[in-house]
Amino acid sequence: MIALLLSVPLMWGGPSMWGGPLWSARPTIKVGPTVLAAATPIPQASQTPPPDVAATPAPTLPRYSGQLLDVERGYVVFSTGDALKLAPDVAIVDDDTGAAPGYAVEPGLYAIAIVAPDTGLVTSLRLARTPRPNATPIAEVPRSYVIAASSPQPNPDLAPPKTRYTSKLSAAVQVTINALVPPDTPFDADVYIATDTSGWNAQAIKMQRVDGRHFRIVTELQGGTDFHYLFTRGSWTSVERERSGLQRPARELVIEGGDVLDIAATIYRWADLP
Amino acid sequence: MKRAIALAAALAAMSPIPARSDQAPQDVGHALLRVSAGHVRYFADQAVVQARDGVEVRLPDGAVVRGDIATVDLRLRRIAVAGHVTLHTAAGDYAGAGFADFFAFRRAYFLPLVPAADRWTFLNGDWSTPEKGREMPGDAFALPDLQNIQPYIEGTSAAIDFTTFARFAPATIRVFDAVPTPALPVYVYNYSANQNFGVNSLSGASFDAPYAFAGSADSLDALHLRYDQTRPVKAFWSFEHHSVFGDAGYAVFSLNPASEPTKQWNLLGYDQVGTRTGFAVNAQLFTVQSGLAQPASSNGFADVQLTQALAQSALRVDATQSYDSLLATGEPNHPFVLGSQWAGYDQPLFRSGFTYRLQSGLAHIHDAFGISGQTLPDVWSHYLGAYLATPQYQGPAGIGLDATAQIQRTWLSFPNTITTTTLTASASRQVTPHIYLVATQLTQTVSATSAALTFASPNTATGLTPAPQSLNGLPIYGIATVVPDAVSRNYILSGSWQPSTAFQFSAAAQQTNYSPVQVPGLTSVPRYQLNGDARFRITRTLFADVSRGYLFNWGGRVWTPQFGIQVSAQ
Repeated sequence: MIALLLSVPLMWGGPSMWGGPLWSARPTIKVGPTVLAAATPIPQASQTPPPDVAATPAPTLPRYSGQLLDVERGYVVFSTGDALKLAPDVAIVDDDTGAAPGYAVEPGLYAIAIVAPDTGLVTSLRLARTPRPNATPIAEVPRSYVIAASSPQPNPDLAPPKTRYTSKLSAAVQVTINALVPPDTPFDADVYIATDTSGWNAQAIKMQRVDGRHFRIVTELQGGTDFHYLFTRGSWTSVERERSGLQRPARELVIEGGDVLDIAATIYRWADLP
Repeated sequence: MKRAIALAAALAAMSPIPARSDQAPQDVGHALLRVSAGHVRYFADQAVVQARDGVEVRLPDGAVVRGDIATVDLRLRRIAVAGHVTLHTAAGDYAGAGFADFFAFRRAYFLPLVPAADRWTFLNGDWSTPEKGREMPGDAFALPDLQNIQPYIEGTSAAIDFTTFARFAPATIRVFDAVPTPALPVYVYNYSANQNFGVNSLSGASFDAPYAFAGSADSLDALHLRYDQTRPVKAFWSFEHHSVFGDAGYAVFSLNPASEPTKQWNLLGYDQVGTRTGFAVNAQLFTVQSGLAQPASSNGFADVQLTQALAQSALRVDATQSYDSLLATGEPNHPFVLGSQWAGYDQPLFRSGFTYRLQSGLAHIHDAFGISGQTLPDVWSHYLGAYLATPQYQGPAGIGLDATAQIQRTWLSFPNTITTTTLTASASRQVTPHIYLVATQLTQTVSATSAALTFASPNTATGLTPAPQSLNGLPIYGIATVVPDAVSRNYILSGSWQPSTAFQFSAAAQQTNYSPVQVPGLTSVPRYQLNGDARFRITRTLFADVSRGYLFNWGGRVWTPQFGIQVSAQ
């Protein structure tokens, strides 16, 4: 059967030999030990060469894990954009119990795809609600297993970025903001930071008094965080202003990455003081 | 040869411009993205809208995407749709596994499964000619993990402006991240980077729950359910409208409370001409009326300011018109204050490390019925003031020392002369990486020729302490100054401790010596106080602030009357 499939790859996309348009074909999904649906053979895409299993027989089946995007039309698709073809008798089970999952198979779950090296098809799909560490990340799946009708084309957008931060997923950065307040700041004043992420709540972040004219706050923010902020004395009538007393533009904080970030800010004037 | 070069140049100019790797994010504008599904949820701490069950997303250009799940990342300006995806565009319909659109970069990624699994990239909104096989970012379709997070808002549809607001309908809001409200017909959540949406014209309430029921890219309307234990009717509701315009302009109107006869109508406005000239208006109207019926009383004021930045200083012209009664009945008194203030910027004092600031003002006050109960209808005032600040000096044992001094003298043509001084000296030390101690000695004085020949107005150009902070224009050092000469000496030891980003504690011990008279009473300053304040995270986005003071049995008062408790979003 596999040989037959491999021999007719060019039929993919047109009126099919299976009696109907292929886009309506559904994979055979075996949930747990029982086959629930009638098998619909899935043809192999022409761009995916058969793996050279004779030269390097794998002692164990390759396991690839990632976030699930879709299981549809004979494919399992991961959030990396990689699509693997499902074997007709693929078993879909919960990775923890080995039994049929007690939840809907939906995007956002995590999955391990176990691939048969000889066919390149996924023979088992193990699902979980949390990331699975015990498998090769799907991003490292060999091209021989990935299904894509078009040949990979380079993307100039993916050249080394000139963006200001490394990744939205980069680690937390310890951010210290030190603020020098104007000399007419009342001695018992508290100083806060209002941010756009808090709906400009005038008391969103409270700062520590460090000395007579300095306040500071230490916080942790993810790399890639980008927000606007202003200093206040706890209300919008006491927000900071330009030296002239005119409204000042909001400050912007961009966390570019790294371990620590120190910011020294000078507050020139408060809106409620002449 | 020249012809060949010209031809080559022309061909190069005619060829399609390749997508560049250094393409900067573009302004996504305010076109709305419309999402509908069985469940549309907003997760505030992730700035993500997630839709499930029969998702339909209508893109700003009219294209429609359907799928099992959609997530809209407001920070990344990205939408991702996954699971049984169909994409309906003017150029055709497609079926696939995933769709992601990065609006700021005008890149839409699509994973078709028909006729075969593939990778397509649509550039610049062109749905007709996808770039097939083009490599995609590894996280183009990544879905945020929201399994253990409670949504802040839940509904079945949302209209989303990536930079300003999202409008949910209907909407169930989880108050304090815990208590869901009944389904409201609509709720507008504003997350604009424009700080003028934060301008607040509502005063006086210990509890405020806003319900934003209408909004756009440049406006927001909200009802506020409020509670104030000092009012006869403690619970009431108010209305507030925001409009923003230009680079810095705003107008805020409010009615507070709207549900009680005693009403306060507020208008705040601001705009700038260029970067050096600003115009501000602050008007308040106080009425006693049932609903919108003829008021039984009506008074108010309007204050207009024009600020002009100069070289190393700024000039402000400030006019205040008061209306003691706007009705045919009552005293038709309309006091008027017109003044100008000049404020210098902080300047270095030679190379000493000291900085100083100078300021002055001139104002004219007119009250046809006599100013401050006197017979004079017109009074002139002018003032001069200066601040001097030291740098921080390093003392022994890691102690930092700094000080500031302020002096101001105001002349009134009553006549009266008022001189105020403030001297602050601080010694500070970082005890541990998370603990700071600051010892402060503060001396404040006021000396006036007369304690009666003064007045208060909202206008600060007079050099007097404005209303409503002061009822007579003299400064307040803990209590209102009613004598010609007063001195307040304070010794404060304050400490702050921030062991983690989720907890802060601060405390202050204070001794106050106030002369000429400091005896226990409701309006006096306690001689000894101990205040504490703890701020701690209660949810992923909410902090609670709990404070209380101990007064050492000052006139029978041991503790401050109650705990101060405040919950705020971070």
